[in-house]
Amino acid sequence: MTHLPPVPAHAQPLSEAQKGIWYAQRRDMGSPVFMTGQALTMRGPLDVAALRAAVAQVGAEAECLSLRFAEGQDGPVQWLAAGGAPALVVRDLSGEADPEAAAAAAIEAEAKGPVDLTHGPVAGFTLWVLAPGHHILSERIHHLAADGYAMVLITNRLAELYSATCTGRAAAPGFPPYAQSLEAEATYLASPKRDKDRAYWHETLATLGTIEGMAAGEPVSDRWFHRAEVPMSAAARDRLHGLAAEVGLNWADVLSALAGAYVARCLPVAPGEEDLPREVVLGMPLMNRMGSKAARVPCTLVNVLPLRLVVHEDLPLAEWLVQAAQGMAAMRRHGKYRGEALRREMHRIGAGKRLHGPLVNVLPFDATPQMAGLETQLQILGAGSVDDITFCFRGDGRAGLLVQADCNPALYDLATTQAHATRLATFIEAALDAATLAEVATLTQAETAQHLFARNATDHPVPETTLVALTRAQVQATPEAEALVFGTERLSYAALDQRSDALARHLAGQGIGPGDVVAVALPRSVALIVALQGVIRAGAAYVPLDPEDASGRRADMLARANPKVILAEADFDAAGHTAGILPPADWGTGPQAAPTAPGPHDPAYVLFTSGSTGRPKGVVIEHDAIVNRLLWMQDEYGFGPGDRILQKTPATFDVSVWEFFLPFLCGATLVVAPPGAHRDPSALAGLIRDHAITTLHFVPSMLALFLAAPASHGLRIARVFASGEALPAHLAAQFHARIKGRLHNLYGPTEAAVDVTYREARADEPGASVPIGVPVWNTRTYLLDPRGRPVPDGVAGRLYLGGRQLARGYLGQPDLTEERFPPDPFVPGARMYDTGDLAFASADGTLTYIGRADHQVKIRGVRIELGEIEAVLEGTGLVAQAAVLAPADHLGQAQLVAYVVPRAGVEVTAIREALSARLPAMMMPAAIVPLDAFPLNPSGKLDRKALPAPQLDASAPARALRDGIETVLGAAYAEVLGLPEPAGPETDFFAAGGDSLKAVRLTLLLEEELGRDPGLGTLFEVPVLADLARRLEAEAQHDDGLGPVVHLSPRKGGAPRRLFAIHPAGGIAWCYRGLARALDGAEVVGVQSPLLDPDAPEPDSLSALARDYCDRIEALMPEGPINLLGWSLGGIIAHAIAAEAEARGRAVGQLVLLDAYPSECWRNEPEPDEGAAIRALLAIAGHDPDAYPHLVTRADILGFLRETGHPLGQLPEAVQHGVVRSVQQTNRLVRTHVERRVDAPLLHVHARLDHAGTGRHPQLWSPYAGGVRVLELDCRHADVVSDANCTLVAQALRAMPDQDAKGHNTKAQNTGDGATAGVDGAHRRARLAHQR
Amino acid sequence: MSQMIQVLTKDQMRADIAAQIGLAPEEIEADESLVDQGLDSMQVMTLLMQWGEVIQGLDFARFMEAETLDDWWLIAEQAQSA
Repeated sequence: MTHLPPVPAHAQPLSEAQKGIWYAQRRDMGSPVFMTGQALTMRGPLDVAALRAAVAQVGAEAECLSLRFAEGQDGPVQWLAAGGAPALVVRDLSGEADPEAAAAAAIEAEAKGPVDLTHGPVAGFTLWVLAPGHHILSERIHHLAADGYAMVLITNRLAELYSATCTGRAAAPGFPPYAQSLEAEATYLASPKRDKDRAYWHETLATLGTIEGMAAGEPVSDRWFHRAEVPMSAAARDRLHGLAAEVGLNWADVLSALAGAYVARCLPVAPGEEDLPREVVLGMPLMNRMGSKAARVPCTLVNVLPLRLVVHEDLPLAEWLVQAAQGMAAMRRHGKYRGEALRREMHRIGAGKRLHGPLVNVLPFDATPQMAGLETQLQILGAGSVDDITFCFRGDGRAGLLVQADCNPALYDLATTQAHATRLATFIEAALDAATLAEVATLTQAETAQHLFARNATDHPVPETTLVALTRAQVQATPEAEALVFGTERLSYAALDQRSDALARHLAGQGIGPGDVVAVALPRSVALIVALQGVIRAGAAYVPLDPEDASGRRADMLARANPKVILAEADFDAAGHTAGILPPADWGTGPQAAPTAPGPHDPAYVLFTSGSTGRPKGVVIEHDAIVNRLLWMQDEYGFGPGDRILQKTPATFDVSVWEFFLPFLCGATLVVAPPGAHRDPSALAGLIRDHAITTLHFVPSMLALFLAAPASHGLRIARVFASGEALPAHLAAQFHARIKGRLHNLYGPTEAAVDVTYREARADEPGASVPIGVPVWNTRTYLLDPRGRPVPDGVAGRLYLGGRQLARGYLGQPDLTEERFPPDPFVPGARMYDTGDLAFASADGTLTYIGRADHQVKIRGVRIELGEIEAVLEGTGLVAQAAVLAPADHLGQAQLVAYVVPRAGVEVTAIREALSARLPAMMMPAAIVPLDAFPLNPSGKLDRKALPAPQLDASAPARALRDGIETVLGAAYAEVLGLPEPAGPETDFFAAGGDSLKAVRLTLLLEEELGRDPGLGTLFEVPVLADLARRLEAEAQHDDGLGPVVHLSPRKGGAPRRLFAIHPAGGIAWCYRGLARALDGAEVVGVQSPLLDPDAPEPDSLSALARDYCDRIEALMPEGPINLLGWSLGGIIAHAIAAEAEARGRAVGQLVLLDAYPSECWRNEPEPDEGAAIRALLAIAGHDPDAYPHLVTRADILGFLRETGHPLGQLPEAVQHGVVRSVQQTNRLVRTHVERRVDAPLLHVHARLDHAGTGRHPQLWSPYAGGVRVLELDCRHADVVSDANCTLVAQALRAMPDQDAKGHNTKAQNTGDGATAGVDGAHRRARLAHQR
Repeated sequence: MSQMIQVLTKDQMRADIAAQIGLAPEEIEADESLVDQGLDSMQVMTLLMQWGEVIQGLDFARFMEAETLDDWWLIAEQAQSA
């Protein structure tokens, strides 16, 4: 590990608190989320000089403002940089049209700006002038240097010092030294108290289970957060204090406990724990200052510790609050023990291993500071990272109390954030007046009304009638229309009517009527359709049986349904049932009687569904229910004459019901598929084409097979319905890519007349599966928690159904019926049905199915949507079908197993590799099982039980390490983890003993071995060796060196000088690598063109581009002189940046132009055409284009670059286009550019061999600079940046006098030292001369 | 109650602290960490509000720095003699 930057000898290790922040920041060095910030609005006459003095004084007193940080030999270190605190910056916005808006935007932009922890400053104070007597002071300090309380200390001190100056009174003494905080920590670390604390925590957390989040996903801080705020009413504040006094607690603890109770309402319920009190594990930030010598030291001390809080909703509230407060008091007594240490010791680092859930923070201390003669108002901008969700209560609780929700945007959207803040405030207000938590609603009143009633406002007039009446009416209307097609048989409405009536009379002749049941066990045929029509016309209900299923199930169903007669072929085995068999051949031959028509509340059919007990249950559906369903469908999708509906669903599956009956209600034709055809995609496609089918249904598993068949390509089908399983979004996309038509996703249990919710599935559905949508006519859906309370949007709830389509119940099972169809608590007198399904609602009420309430999938504590993994598997293009299950392994842990039907010739290893590049490690299947085809159950659904068990072998490594990155990783893991031999490909870094510190060591080691830092975040994300190797390989293919800024030399601790090297025409700054090497001791930062991004807009002018670059540079270097260098057209840009920087009042140090000439030289030259621009790629790659006249086309040149191994040849095509675009655009901008004069002198490096007779010479710059010095090189333009010349340029740069580092501006101060240096190279002659 | 008194004594401080933590006054150890004995920063604020009615100029930050009742008494003693 030799690549570590030098740090001052007096540097000290970080405190535990700082280390936690450092590692989190290291995951994403550019993230501004660790900046804490405040904005203080000041109205009244402000004494700017006094404020400036106060900022300077605070800078001297609060040493933390001068901190610097770097990665040291043994972990991160910090030191105090003398005079390193920031001075007050003043920005005048009073000229803006809307100064307040401008200030708000500027302050936010400033807060989100990056910070350089090594070079500093780590803080900033900006005074924004909005108008006379209206100012805002924005303060920002990196969380490594200050926590929220330190920010308060500093702000109050600023106010005190300012007031002291204004009033002439002396201020109190300043802060204790920073070192005191480190000493306090050292004292604690060595004390016996720490051992006691450790024992307490280990005992408390020994049984800590998996921590759930309120939103699915990994809590890894994003770069910023959403915030929503809701003030608590004065009445609620009074009640809070009243209640706190009544129960003898402080109000802060009451708030924390109630916030915990709210969090419990937003967490999923573990299966089997519905009736237990829920435990939440809150993260409680403790100030950690009381009774410590560090109490008044501005520094970072805040300590987030887990609070295990069991929410007993049935206890008297006061009793529970006291219990909760005792837990908090116990935690505080051991509150010095660091959360970071616990995380390590409890193995709670890495994916899915949280130490706590949402943060709850009561902050009574950040009162608005008083400033002499000013009216002040304080706004907290940010207080560090938001990993998941943080609930803050700000204010003293009496004068004001603000409920604040800060959310990680990766997990919550802004509307959800707002809803949490509002709901929490409402929840607390209600709880303050409640006897028990149980009686407090989770939702606000408005939400409750919305969820229960507005979303269920589905009332629609549907006549109380029967299938029989509706069908007869249609026969009357269109007797000659084609009703039925089966093979070559065709029946008109009149013919079907006649045959159906004949059977009905026959059944009536056998005494069958309303209330009776007739079994139908026929294969798909005309007879089947006639049988169903005949049975309902006789007033009876039909119960379908699978003619091919002769299992014990059949006997059970027959026994339970007890049919009067069985319509089946003569050889049907009735399994001992006494009902007579009536084969189609005999229909109409026996005694006849006039049938009795059924009433709307007579059963129409009985369908058996599998029961969890293993015995099938018979669901009884009345005519009124199915009529509602069918008339809704006819209306919603516009069915009518001319529609041709395919009947392919087995009659035992409820989807068949609308196939059988809908056509005859609306004059359409039913096309009956031959038996068995529903399993054969090609046969189905043939049927659809031959019969011009307009409508059919698929279970998603079968739809996947169908779409995978070539025969389905290009079909036109007006409507395809999917139901029976979650519909994967990728399948919807695939559907639209292959088939012209609309896809509709329907959801419903057999217990509610086929379907109760609907949604059109478009090609671009977000999420893993297509939502199930919203309720149909006269139907209600509720998402409830185990106590029957509606759950918030986004939170999983158990789905209950109500309305007209509910089944009558289970045949002969009144107890089960009562259990599954309880009273609807929201509609007096109504029933509802408990689906046992889990779903969540989005903000518009759209429902999304999650899974069954009884087997939720969790892998390493993270809720995983198996459908998502399936979608990714399908997205690889390597598999035709995929299904992911989570069976338990031999230890009882859920393991992901992927079953796939690979495409021809695809190996499982290829699938695994493709998957590991696309999925986080926690979602990687433990096994991938290839199958020739998926087993389907009789209704066409994937038969999960028939899938073979995977071969999981946990002990032996699956294979040896591969050459290359895997081998490097194997050795590096072993070195860092202290393993005796190289780690195997399956090794999980954290599971094998890695922690944050070791993780950093590993990244450093890898940086040395591989030449680049994989990033701590990557390691956290993919800790398994083989997966990490795959990720690194994938990243290598699209090297990241294409961002707006590229660091060409290793970043150095304390290196004083930075040189910004501006890209030449091609937009890439890699050409300065050699120079970066030669300039050992300075840091070279390449500035690259935004045009490399194909979506970036084209800049208007070169000055506009220079302004943009200057912003970037200032963000990286907020103070000190700016050093600039540019080659070729990059020199013109460097000069323009220098002009811009000077206009902003920044000093320009070195300005170095490598063979660049003012834009006037190019104004009349033709712009390069595409060919020339492409040839410029050669120059960018360091070749002289003139040496390769035979390379003309893009393919020639890129081929050549690939052959020579140049990285440009490996770039993605889009970037290659970007380079060509940059060449053309930069040339265009140069031709309209006019140089401004800069005050700084410049160094010109002149390539003498190229410019003879062109008139291009260094002195052309004289009017535009405060002096021109020249380094003559005997080389051509293209060679200026070659290694040998870089050495010469570097020598010349080092010989250049440093500009006045503090000077505001080096106005016309020519470097009159007349420095003339002769520099002799071995092969070239160079002359450095002072000109002018 | 502290509202009734004119000077703040160590015994009164001990009694008030004990009331906050929910212990008997004699259970408070004068030379042991108040944090370890269960006092939190919100309670310190409450105590200082009570005592602030008796003694002018009690500095919250100084109490935060001090660890034990003995330390606290030193601060209160100084403030009353000033």
